[in-house]
Amino acid sequence: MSAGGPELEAGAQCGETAGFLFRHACQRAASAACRSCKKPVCEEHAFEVSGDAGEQAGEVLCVRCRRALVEDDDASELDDEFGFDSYDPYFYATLHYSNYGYYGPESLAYHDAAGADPNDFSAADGVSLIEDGGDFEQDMGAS
Amino acid sequence: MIPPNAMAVDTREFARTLTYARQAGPAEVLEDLQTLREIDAHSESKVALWGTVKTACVVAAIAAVALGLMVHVASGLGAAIGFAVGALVAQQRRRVHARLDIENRRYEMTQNVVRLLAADMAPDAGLAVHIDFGAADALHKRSDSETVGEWDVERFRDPWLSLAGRFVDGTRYRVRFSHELQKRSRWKRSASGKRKYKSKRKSKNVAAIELRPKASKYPHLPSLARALDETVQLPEYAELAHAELDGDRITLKALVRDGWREDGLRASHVIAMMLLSGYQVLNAAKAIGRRGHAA
Repeated sequence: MSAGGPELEAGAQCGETAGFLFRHACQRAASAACRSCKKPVCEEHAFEVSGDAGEQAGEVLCVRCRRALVEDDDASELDDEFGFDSYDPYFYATLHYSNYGYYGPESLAYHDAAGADPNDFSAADGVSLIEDGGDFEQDMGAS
Repeated sequence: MIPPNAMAVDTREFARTLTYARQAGPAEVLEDLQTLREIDAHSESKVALWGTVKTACVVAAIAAVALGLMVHVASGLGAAIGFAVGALVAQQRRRVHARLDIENRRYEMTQNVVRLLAADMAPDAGLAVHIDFGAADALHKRSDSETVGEWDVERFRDPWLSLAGRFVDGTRYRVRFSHELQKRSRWKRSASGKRKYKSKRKSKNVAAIELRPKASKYPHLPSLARALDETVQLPEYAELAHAELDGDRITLKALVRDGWREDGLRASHVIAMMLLSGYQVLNAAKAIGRRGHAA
């Protein structure tokens, strides 16, 4: 599969970490190197490029580089033009579950009891604001 | 790791039980499911062939009787009997093959799900698969029966799919899919005094997943119990029936409306979304831990 693609070191392990549900190291041997990032990838994680638009047939992309293409394009168009499988395990979350893997301030990881930000306001803070400075809310002249 | 079970698809045994059960790696299971697909395709073609032969024999028998009446009665009757016997043989052959004409979406859906699960399993990990291809209204699947008004009601529960294994992070999973069927029937007397038999069916499909992660890897998981419901994302043709985070176990159950696509894609999509929903919670629990360390 590496014909025409970047050189692959003998005995290289697959360097892809993409999964369906979570990221993890791949335990398979690499069979090719990604055309874009040169990462060694196994057959499971390699996507053969189409050979259209100046691409050399036989070259492969790793999941991450392929995913970058998907995020830039409309998946339905990719379906039509490249036979892209939107139910592929490695693209499933990106294409079907909104905000998968997002654990920023608006995520549930910030709304749990155990993980609450100790510096954030709580209901008790609201009470103390009223008690300590009853006019604070009404003081329109405060800067 | 589940010990491998060497049994691949034994056509004769499968024809007898209509059940596929094996503990093996995803690649072997997918290979077996491909074999089942081929068995099904072969049976479908044989059912069609013997159906055509049967129809041809019936038509020929009628033609032989008609021709016999016009030309020679004895020869006509003899030929008609021959064709009638042919039709009976064809019917018998058709019935034999029809038993192996299994529901496509059951193996197609399983193929889709196994392919997804395999992406997060170690290459040498096994999974336990059990697929029942038997009819949903088989007698042993009847859960209860009663009379409601004028109707005789029979309820059937067909838990036809079970998949269990372990992901590479140590989380144990179980996927189940069942078909629940209700059959109603009654005899009705029409205005002319004739007795007419009326029957109707309704059914629902229930998808369920269970994730049991290693407690040591997700110590913050119990704190997310209340957030589980809002994390679940399902397609519009599925409805969340139950969501529970009990200790270190996540259980999700969803109703899948009947009429799901023949290729089983709809049902496997529901299961995929349930798994992603469960892992969204697990990954959030991990993120809490990381945030705690960073702070």
